[in-house]
Amino acid sequence: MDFNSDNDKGQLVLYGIPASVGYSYGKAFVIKKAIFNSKKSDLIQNPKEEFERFAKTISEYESQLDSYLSLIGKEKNPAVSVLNSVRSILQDPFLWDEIKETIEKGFSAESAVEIVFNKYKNSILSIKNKILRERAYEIEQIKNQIIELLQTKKLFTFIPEQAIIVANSLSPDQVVFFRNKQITGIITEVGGITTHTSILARSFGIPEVIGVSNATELISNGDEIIIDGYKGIIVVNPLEQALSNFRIKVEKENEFKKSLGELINLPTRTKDGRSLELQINLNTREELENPVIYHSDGLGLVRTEHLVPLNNIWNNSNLLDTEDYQYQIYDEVATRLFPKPVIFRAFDIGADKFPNFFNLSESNPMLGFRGIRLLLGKPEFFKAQIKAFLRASVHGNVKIMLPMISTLSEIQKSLELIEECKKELDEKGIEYHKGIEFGVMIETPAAALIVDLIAPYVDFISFGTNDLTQYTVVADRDNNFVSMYFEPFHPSVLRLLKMATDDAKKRKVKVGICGELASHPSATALLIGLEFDSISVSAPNFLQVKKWISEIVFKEARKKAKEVLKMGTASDIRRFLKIS
Amino acid sequence: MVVKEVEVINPAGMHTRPAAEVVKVASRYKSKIFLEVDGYSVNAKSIIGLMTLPAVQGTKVKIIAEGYDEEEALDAIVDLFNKGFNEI
Repeated sequence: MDFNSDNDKGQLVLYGIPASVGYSYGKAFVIKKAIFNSKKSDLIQNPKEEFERFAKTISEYESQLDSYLSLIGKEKNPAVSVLNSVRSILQDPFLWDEIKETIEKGFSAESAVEIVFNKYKNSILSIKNKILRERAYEIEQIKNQIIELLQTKKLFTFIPEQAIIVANSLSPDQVVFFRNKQITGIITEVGGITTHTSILARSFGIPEVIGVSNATELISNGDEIIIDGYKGIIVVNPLEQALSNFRIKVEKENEFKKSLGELINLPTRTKDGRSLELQINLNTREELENPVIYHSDGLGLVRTEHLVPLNNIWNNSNLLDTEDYQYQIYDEVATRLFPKPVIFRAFDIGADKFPNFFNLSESNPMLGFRGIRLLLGKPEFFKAQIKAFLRASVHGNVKIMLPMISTLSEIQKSLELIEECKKELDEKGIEYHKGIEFGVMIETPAAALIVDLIAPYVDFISFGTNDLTQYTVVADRDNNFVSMYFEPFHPSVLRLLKMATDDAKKRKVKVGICGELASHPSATALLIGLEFDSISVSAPNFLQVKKWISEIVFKEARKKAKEVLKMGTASDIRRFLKIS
Repeated sequence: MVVKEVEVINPAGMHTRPAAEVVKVASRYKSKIFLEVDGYSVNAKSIIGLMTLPAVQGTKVKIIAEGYDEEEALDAIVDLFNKGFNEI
């Protein structure tokens, strides 16, 4: 990389939507949009020859796809199914018939492709659902690719290495093609964060920023470019200051990548092959810039009371404002993680968290108005949050979770409110994911003991071990007089975990744990032995826990868990697990 | 002609991959097969046509088959929908 070249072109900073994280530096390779107007003026003489030209081009396109597929190999890559679906579109016999008919009317192959594909594109664009509508981009991309091939026979034969591709938009197979040309980044003017193109960029680890207006006009071939794929910032022809800031960031990122080692890209699995989800607990928006979360299996717990600056919504009596405000935050989290799952937990306020929002004087706030109780006591406030969740769910990867459940009626009432919210959104014609999953935290003995009754209402449960421990052993860990009683390895806590897990699994409800408990290798082994489907940890612990899991033998862990459940005291259990 | 209404149950709805599955199954039969949502109907043997179908999770889709193997064709497509296109 040559950072020291003179530049007198002037620095330009552009902003877009971060679609694939990472930093990169390179020289721009700008692809101008192929402008093609279908006119009857390019009428052709010999329809038969023209149709053959089309057929030959399609088979060229298919052999290109084949060569991409062979480059990717048989690894289970999202690119494989993406490329195969492009192929099935190219082979659609009805599409061929229509192209043939159009050519026979006297249109050139290019025009026929333009006319027929646009027909389909336009009917997709008339679909109300935003996700389905994104398929229109795919149709547009395939169309452009065919037209380019028809016109030039070979597309993009020369692309400099380390190039940063700047385009109006890219097709999935172009991303695969460019990846093999060692490009270092992608900038597009349009596109969606959930399109195949963005998914591929993320899976290949190519930094991508989308939605950069007029990028192909503002950036010229050969311009030096810095991409910040975390923030969606592009610096064109950067000055020395920007370059040195960039170098520091890259160095940090490289160190981080080195520290991750091989493990990061492997699926989470025990030594004997039992797979589970290892997820991350998210507290703040800043954490979205921690690359490790994009290597996890999703967000197992988003603490919305930390994520959303509560002051901004608490003092605002306009509920629609607070809904919109929250929606923007949740949508950012959900889209940046897509397609990985994101579990938003409704505000867990009260007790020790933000007590000053209410002028409540509770003599015992830990046993007071907190979590779901507070939410149900402020239904309009709660509904604004639910609606914000629902709106952010439109991509299909959002789940809702409720805090501090202690009775079944709390779940029933919340579900009624969720139904009300759905209806209100329906009336306004606002989209959301109809099959959005719903779950509850199990952090009180009262809830843990009735998981069999809760199961019919939920898709998943997730244990919060800190609260479950304090409410089971009746000790505050911050109170010096009793903190020694705060004992997550108390047999009764473990029995509750075991019982509730079995009750849930019998009813096909998924079980997760948001685990401070997973902070020790043998404690992690215990959780694995208790057969949790997912474990969610804070980002700094992620890799360590992943490493521990890879060293655990599930069958042994299960045996050990059985042993532990027979033991009478926490100190026996700790000794057995070698936890001090 | 045989007709049956089914519901889309997979969370992602009729995206590209399920569309490809439908084409694969439908193409095994001689009958004409159409899928219809709110009066908008597409040929089940055309993937690009299926991609234009506004079918998300929960959408009711009418399946219409006509031809000498229409019963078998209808059953096969209904089965595919009920299995959530093998996605769930």
